[in-house]
Amino acid sequence: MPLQKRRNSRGNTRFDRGENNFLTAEGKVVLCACPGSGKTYVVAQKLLKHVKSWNRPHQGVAVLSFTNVASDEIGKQTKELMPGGFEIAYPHYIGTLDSFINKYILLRFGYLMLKDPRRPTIAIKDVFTIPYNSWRHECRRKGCVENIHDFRWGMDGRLYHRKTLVECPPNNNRKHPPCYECKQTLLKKGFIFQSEVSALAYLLLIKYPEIAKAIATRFPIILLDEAQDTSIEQMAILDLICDNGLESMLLVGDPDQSIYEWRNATPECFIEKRDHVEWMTLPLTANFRSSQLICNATKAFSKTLENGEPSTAKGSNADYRQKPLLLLYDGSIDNVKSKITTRFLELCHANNIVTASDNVAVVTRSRIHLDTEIPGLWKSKEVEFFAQSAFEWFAGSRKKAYTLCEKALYSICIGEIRDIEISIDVDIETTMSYELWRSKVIELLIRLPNPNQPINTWIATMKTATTQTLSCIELSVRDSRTLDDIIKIKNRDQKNPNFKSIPLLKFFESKNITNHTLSSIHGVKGETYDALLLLVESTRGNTLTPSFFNTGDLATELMRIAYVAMTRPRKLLVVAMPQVKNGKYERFPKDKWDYESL
Amino acid sequence: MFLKRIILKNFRAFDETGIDLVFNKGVNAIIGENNSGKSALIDAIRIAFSTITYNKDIYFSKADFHVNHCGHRADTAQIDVYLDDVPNNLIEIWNPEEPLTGEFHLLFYTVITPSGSEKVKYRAWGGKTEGNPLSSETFDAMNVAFLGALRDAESEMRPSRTSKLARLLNTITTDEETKTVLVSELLKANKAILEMEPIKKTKDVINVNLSDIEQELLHQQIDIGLVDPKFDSIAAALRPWIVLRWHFISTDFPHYDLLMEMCRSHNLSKIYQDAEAGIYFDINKFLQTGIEIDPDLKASLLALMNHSFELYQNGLGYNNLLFMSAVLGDMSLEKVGVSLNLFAIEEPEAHLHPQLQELIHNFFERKYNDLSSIQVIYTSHSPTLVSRIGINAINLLHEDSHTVHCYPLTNAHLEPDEQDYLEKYLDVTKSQMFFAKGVVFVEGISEAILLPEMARSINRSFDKYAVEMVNVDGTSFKPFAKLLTLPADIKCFAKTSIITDDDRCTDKSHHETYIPKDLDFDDDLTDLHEKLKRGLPSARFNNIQSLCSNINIELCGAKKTLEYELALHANNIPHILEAIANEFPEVGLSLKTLVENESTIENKAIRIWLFIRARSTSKGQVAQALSRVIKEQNEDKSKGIEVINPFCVPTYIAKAIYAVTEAEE
Repeated sequence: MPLQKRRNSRGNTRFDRGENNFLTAEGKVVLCACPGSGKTYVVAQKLLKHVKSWNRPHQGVAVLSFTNVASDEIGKQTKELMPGGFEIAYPHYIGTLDSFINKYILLRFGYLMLKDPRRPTIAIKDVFTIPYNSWRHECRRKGCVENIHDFRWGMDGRLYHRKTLVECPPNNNRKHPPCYECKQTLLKKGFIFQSEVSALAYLLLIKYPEIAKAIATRFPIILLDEAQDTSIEQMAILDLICDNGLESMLLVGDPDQSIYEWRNATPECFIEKRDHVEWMTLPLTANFRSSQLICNATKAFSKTLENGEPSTAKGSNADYRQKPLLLLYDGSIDNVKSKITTRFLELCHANNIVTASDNVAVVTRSRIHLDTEIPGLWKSKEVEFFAQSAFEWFAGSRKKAYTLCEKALYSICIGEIRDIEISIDVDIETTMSYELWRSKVIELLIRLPNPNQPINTWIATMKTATTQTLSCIELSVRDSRTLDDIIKIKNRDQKNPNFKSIPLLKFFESKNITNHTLSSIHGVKGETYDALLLLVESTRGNTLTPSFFNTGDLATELMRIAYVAMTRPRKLLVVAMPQVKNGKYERFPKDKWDYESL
Repeated sequence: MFLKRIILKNFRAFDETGIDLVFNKGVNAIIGENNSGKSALIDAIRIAFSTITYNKDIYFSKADFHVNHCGHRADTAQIDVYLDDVPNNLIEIWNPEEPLTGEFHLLFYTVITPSGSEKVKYRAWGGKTEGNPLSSETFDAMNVAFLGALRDAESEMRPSRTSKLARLLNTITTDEETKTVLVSELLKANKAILEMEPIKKTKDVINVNLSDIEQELLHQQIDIGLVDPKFDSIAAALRPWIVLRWHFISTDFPHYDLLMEMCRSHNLSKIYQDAEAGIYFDINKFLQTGIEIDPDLKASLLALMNHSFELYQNGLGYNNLLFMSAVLGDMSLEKVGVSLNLFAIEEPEAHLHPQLQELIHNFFERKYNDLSSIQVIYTSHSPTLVSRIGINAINLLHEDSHTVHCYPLTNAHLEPDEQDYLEKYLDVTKSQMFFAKGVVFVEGISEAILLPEMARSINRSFDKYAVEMVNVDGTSFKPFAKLLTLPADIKCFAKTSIITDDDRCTDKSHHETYIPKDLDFDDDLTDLHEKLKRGLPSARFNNIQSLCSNINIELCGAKKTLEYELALHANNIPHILEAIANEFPEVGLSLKTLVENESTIENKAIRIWLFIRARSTSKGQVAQALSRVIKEQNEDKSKGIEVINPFCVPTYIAKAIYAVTEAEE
């Protein structure tokens, strides 16, 4: 959210007590920040407080978050609070916790675990395989062979298949089952998957406490934003750094907003710190975003506020007099979707809310183009890279497009890509100068077909374009593959038989921007809108349904997802859901919600 | 933090095998003959510490890749740098397995650009594994300064934003307040100057002309002043000059008599020196005495002191001193975040006389002791510096079979007493051996005097073969032998031989071969020849022999002594007798008679030996006289004049000479 808006909603930048306490607190500190409390702004202030008076060379503050977007936002806000030209730079660090662990622990010192001292490679899943001969029939049957990236080392040094401990028996005369041996070979050669980085980094710190000490010296202050998304392994790493002389560890988060379990986020880690005597816990309960009426209505969906009061609205919209609206509909969502949206936009007009994409949002639980979920769509990693590159080139970041196109071209013509942190330039320079290579990548990039075409047309065009470009830039397909094998998608899909005529664009679009934003709930995390419509599309299944809203457990991720959505708007909140037969909506009491039927 | 070790591969003179240099905290010297790669090494250190930083005064260029004997240029070159006492927050270079150490590496290679030109590129990594990032910020902790051999200290000291003085002022003035005070003083001075009539006029002339040209277009005016009133400009304007110590005051100086009277009454004889028509006077000292001085006299003296030297009027040597004191001054001030201050100097002895060299070395050592983060690495040809620096601080570069090797003398693993001994006796002359291609150790004055002429007489002039002779003045060869031995490949850095007497027949416990010490030339010689024939070399000689048998040192022992061996040649006897007669006109005559009466050459030699042994204090003079004879013979030979009775070099000596020069044809 641009800072200007936040300042407006705060009136001015005065702090309440919770914020001031946090700005002066050091040591082990937890800041519980409710939605709309301006958490990022407080983090930026805290960071600046240190940075402005910093006089310790080659030591710094590490500000960690979970997504690049979140990190960039903190960087942006500190910049806006300071005179022009200011930038958080060495000796400080802003970035994701993952990249911090990669950069300062695993990639740098991981060689200590390997047979030969070399920098480990964080392998891209699906692409990387290693020849291994002792697989059993059942390994193939269970799909373990193709999905070696589903196996990961745990913090106990044992091997897990996703979340389950591997307990298969070893082959004759062997100590461990084939998957274990295969993973061991990979590890010895330095190939690691992102899913096991934290566990291995943890084991490394256990074995070499000197490294934890060094990190605590290099970054005596660690500030972790969105701390509710920390995984068990990551928290264990932070604890080790803490125990090895860290001066201050500041965890900022909201357990009600943990919606990344699929990325191993474990809000219990944060809650444990919040409730621990050694940690000083400070609350931020003022909501500078939403009206008091929205705060009152959303309280019923928060685990943290279960036995307490709703957040206090303190922003410029605190007294906005529009009650949240429960919009009930009958029949299939496909038939009424446009009707609901129209009604929602009408309400926006009635409230004098400008319908613009940064002001008004419609959100759903799942991805916005339901029919684009085709399992096994891409027949090679390269074609997926190309398709994504075309999407980025026309509708996103050209820099990302370049990187993706480079990866694909490299993999087709030069050699296997193994590394997430691509170091293609180093390998390239053994055969040609990087400048020359870059010109070749660009030749191909500018010929990528427009992603507005249906996916099957796009594939055909792409194949021709690639064939022509390769001969013109004097590169050829390596090994015994052909472009027909590489630039290829799935032929048919039972669930979505017409997927081939969907434009390529839709397979990558996570937000559709017209006069309003259409997005998944995950896509609007951290955002603010004047008005928001949450579209509940199902009555059954393990997703958002009317019965889940009314009786579902507050301590589940699904409920937190709903909560995140409902706490986005400043003025107008609309929840649209199918009518239920008994007509009971326990968590939508009539004193807090207006009702309307379509 | 300090530079512990550097390994260079395929860099200039150093080939694929590379060179491995070890350094100590504090002061280090790299010595070696010309063209052994000393400058390359200093450049490699500079390249290592500046490639990643933004400020570079040296680049790795295509010409820096090693070219082998076949003319093939190496594809890559590598510099590996190992540091000690590394703080763990320098995490990019720090090593968790040995938490006080760190390392970084640079690999250079070339690529062909699309336009077809060849360009040098590099990869750099911190710690053990390639790929680990190494950022310029880490190098902010490492401050490297350089003073080159063909340096222009004058230009480095000249006023500029990057001059050493500007840097020093910046280090000293850290707070804004002090800077503001300096600037306001300058503003005041500028203002005062501006109000002076000539300056005003100058300004007006320009402004009038300016407005004449511009008419009404720009309305710009100029102001003039001393220096742009900013802190950086002050720093950039600083210039050093030398204030003379002794000022000439002539007898017609207005206050001459008063001055002399004051000096006499206050007993200040030390601050003036008489000269023709006046005195040389130390004005500064005089002003510092605190004696009350007549204001007129003081003013006149101060006016005299204004005569000072600008930099360009200084000698080269003095400007170098200025440069070194500015750099080391800057380094010895603690700077936040800097943990290594490395000062690389090429040949600090350049333009300095030996006493000053010694002072420089002491200065380095004191600076180091004051603050351990300063490390000085210098290359040198100067035996003076080498003799002062201590064995462990020396890295010796030497060439062998067309390959340059490095030998840190600290690897000699000397016992403490051996080290003490060597450091005591490694004087300027002996230190020359580090720059030689061959070294002959001798045990006394006679050998030392005779050897160079003997070498010339067998066409192996020491000058021509860059051989250094070291007179050990005794028989403590062992520490020297150890010092010169490379333990790894059992080889000396230079061809080495030892010439010593085997001192047979000196063991009293062997009655049958013992020759009493009190015999003189005119005593009874019965059995002596037989004893010498059967006598065994002394225990001391055997020890040296066993030491040398393991290493590549040619041990050449005289049967009994040098004099005996010399006299065993009939040709030499007349020359020796003549030399003795020079010193001992009377007793020499009786020796001559006795020798001539002996029938065997052995007995003649015994008489001569006994004569000299009993008069060993005059050994040197006899050797001197003899060496004159050989010298004359050598000169005659070179002129083509036939030499009668040519001097014979004893076989063992010839062997020693051939071993350090070139084998006999």
